[in-house]
Amino acid sequence: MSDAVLTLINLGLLAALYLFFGGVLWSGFRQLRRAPVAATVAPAKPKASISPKNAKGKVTIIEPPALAGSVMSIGDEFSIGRAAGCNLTLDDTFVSQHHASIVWRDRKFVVADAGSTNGTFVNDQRLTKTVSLRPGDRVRIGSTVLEFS
Amino acid sequence: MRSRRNQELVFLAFAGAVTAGAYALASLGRNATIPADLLPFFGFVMALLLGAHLMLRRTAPQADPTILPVVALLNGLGYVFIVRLANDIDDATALPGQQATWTAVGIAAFTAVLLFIPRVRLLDRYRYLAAIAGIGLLILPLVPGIGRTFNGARIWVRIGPISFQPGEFAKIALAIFLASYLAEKREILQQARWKLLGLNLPEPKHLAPVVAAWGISLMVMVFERDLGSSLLIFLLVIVMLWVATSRISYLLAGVAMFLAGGWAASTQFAHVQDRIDIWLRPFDDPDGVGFQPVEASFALANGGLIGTGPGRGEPFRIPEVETDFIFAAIGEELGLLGSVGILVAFLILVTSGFRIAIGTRDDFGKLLATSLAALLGIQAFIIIGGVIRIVPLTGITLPFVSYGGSSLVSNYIIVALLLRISHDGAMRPDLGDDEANDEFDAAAAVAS
Repeated sequence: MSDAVLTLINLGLLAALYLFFGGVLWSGFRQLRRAPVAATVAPAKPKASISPKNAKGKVTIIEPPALAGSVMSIGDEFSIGRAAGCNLTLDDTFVSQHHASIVWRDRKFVVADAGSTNGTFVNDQRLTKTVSLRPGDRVRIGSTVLEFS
Repeated sequence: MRSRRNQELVFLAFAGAVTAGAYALASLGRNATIPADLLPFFGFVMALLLGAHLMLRRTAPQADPTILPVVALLNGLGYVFIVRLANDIDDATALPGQQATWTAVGIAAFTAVLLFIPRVRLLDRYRYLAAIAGIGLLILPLVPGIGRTFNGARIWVRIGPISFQPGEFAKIALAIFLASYLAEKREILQQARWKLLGLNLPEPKHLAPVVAAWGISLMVMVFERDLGSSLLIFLLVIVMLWVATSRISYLLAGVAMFLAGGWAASTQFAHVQDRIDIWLRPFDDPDGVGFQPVEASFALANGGLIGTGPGRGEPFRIPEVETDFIFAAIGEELGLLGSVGILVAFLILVTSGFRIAIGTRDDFGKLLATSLAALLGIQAFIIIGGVIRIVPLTGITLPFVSYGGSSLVSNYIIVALLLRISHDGAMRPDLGDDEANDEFDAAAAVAS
């Protein structure tokens, strides 16, 4: 087979190579445009893994505006933090891995800070000990505000 | 959403066709015949890829569709060049068979990772086990009796009939440790209160792992004479600290420490000094120590823009061309366009890794995806940079392309982990996987 033919086939191979890259890049670009970006600063979409049948209370997200209005049921214990295993996972740098918990104790809900770095605030008072919650109380953790009811 | 996997299938068929085309062309160029085993070869390649693809359909249907096809292309082109080189190198007839076997083992490992690690978060629990495994694997070649020295580097271990390079697996263990450690400590590491030479550094106790990494990489360099792995591990630590904390002072401190260590090593150890001399002045001794880089430079020059065509160059003149210098062989026979294609492929792999990191919610997954992508990118940079003489040459494989079993298997594991993270990240957290969440919560409760 002549050199010219082989060179032509070689060029065809290189063209196919770049066609392949073009397709792959296009696919990656489309993914990036379509997929919502899980940014570190924005709080993650909360997931409530408490089934309604053992729910005793609930919290409503007031801030940030993006999540305002989400309601989550609280069972015997409701953990809040940045760790993926918490009942409410907040993707916020100012939230510790296990930041705070709302616990059903002596027939009422109490909120306890779990040794967080930046503190837990109830009605803008920083928690120094466990306090009980009354409907309407606002709990602030990092940039997230929850209303208990 | 099945369309991601369908896209992947189309790309895989494309990558398989390019590989088969290159295989046929290499044979045509060399002895003007279409290889008799073209169809069985193509069938074998496609069967392996199809196996990996079907496993993804079953275990990680939402994973990124671009990674596996690009890996298939790199592995396929690398294999074509290994076959082509083996025909011209004495004592190399066994290489293609071994590379094909190791590819199959690599895909088996890929499958096993996807099957046995249903959620990448599970790895977060084994932080210190990963650290111990990583360090243990790194120093394993130094153990008398099983360690083997080859070409001056003591990086092989031989147990019974099986030889492997434990360093290739150590890097994965260290990446898992780093991601897990930094996911927890990054807040502390962000707050720098300790001033040294005008830099704001975190307190010394938090810097301990960095210093440890520096020490380990120096040890690898000195005792195992493995400059490539040493550089790879050190760069990985620095990049990860920087990514986790977004503080440039880590990058600067790391570079300063590396320069200090490198300078000290080059004055104290002859083998390091030799590498630097060969890098800067290979033409001083073109028939002796400079032979390899000089031949590689001639090969790249001979290739020009479009290359000589597969099978029509003389890359077999370069010593170690099937492992460290395979990039020069591709540069000669596919030219600048083909070798830039290899760079584009690695660029796509690394950016896909970073895209996966962006799309993942939890810090551990984010950092692990970043570190795995960084591993592939840094390793490709170190060896390609060495071949084209941007940095001193350090013997390390070009992931998926070079001949080498340990390297293939470990890189397939890396890719499987990336795809697993990609699938996890693409799943909406409030859909479906409650059972796994509950299991995780229970485990966390026991742990705390």
